[in-house]
Amino acid sequence: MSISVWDPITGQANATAPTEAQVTTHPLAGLVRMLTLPMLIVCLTGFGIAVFSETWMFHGIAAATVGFVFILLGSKLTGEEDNRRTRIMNAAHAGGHLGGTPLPKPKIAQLAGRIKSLLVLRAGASIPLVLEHEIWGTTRGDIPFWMGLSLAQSQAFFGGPKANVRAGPDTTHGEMAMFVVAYQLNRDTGIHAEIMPEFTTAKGPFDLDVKTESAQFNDRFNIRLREEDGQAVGKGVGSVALLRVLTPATQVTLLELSDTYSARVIVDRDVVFFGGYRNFQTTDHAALQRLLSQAVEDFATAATSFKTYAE
Amino acid sequence: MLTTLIILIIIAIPVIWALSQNALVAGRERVNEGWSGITIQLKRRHALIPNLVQAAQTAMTHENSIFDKLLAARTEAVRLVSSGSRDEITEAEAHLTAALNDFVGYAEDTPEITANGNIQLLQTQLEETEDQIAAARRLYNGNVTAYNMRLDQIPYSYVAARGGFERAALFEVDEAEFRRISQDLSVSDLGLGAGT
Repeated sequence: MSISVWDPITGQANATAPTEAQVTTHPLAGLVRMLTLPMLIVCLTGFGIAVFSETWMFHGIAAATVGFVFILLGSKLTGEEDNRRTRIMNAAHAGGHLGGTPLPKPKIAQLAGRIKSLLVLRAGASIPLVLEHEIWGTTRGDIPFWMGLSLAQSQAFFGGPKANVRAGPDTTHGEMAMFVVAYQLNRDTGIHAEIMPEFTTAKGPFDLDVKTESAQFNDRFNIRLREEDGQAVGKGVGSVALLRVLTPATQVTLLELSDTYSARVIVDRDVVFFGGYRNFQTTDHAALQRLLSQAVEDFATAATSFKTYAE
Repeated sequence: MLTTLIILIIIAIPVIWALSQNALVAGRERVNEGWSGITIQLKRRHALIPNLVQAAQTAMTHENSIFDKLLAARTEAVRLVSSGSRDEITEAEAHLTAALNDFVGYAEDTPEITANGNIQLLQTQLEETEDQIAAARRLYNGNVTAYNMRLDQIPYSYVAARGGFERAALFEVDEAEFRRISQDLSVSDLGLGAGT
């Protein structure tokens, strides 16, 4: 049954409960996964030999080609790519929410236009966010939300200890979840602002963004106010309105989300977008659903803190 | 070569000194801004108390000294938050917290107060304000820690010793006490759940 839900891009959308699909395990999938790293080393070593040694050049080219073809086709031939998409759909069961459907290309383009700075690679945000599926629902506090999501298989060490969370038996790999969550506030904050990871070069006279009362927050985030059309406003314009919304509790919450999810934020009047990623060290989709549900609630806390002050 | 080196050192010393001085001044300003953030929230707490007392007095048929004690503690906190030292403010806020604690204890045992619906709204506002105080305190203490650490580092320590930069004090209140008051004033404890 289709239900009308809030959507940050289209305003309203029709969504249905996701259907859970079975992940099929190809007999060679484990072997391919295990050999990926050695084959990458073979590929790079072969490339190096081909470039620097005339005697062994053809051996190097052969090794680089074998390694490259293996990496390129391995996951396709064993159905790993299909399984990855299935895992995303299954993760969309998070909290019994709706959707889990692939994001249509026109909507991806609309998202890229509206929240481009959340998605792109930049200093302080080392991973560009790729969104492939979408989920709709309401939080425990009855706030409508939309989530764009993608998963990529990752090694356990990826992202460092802060970005890792263990959620089951020890595994050597897990899922890197990349997502954008949007919440509809029931009041207009009156501001367009981007709160992004601070540039590493923003020191002294080069540190020109809006400042709050917290040195830690200023070191962590770059705060920019925008006009309705997305243009940056002049220094000092609208800063008071922004700082009224960035209460101490909101700042503390955003610092915690920055630690956990490398969070970045766009406040667009009555809609707040949060982008982030986290390496979930599990392959169990039930655990993944719980972790994604928790991420939705964690970001909702920050969204609510914007709303509370606006009220 | 040696002459060039000496000239470079002579130029570098005042530049480093000026940059260090500026960094220390900026750090001290951040500490003051953080403190300002705390006082805004403390004033908001002060503003809520007369309403809380008034709501309780409206429900009561007789006066009680606990109200006077709470209002007196609030008056002292209001006086000091604008003109007192940080130690005095901390002490006054601790007294105010204790007075609020007594008030809550009394309210729990007094059905006329717990039946007043306005207290539910005031409790929500008080809880939010205390969350903001706790958050503002964390941000302020972060600024203080960063500033104090800088005072101990070279070359800032030389500049600080000669420039009159003093260590800033952390704002340490008993957060558990703040939380306890908030919890004690919760709707269920006061019997203000659905239907009351």
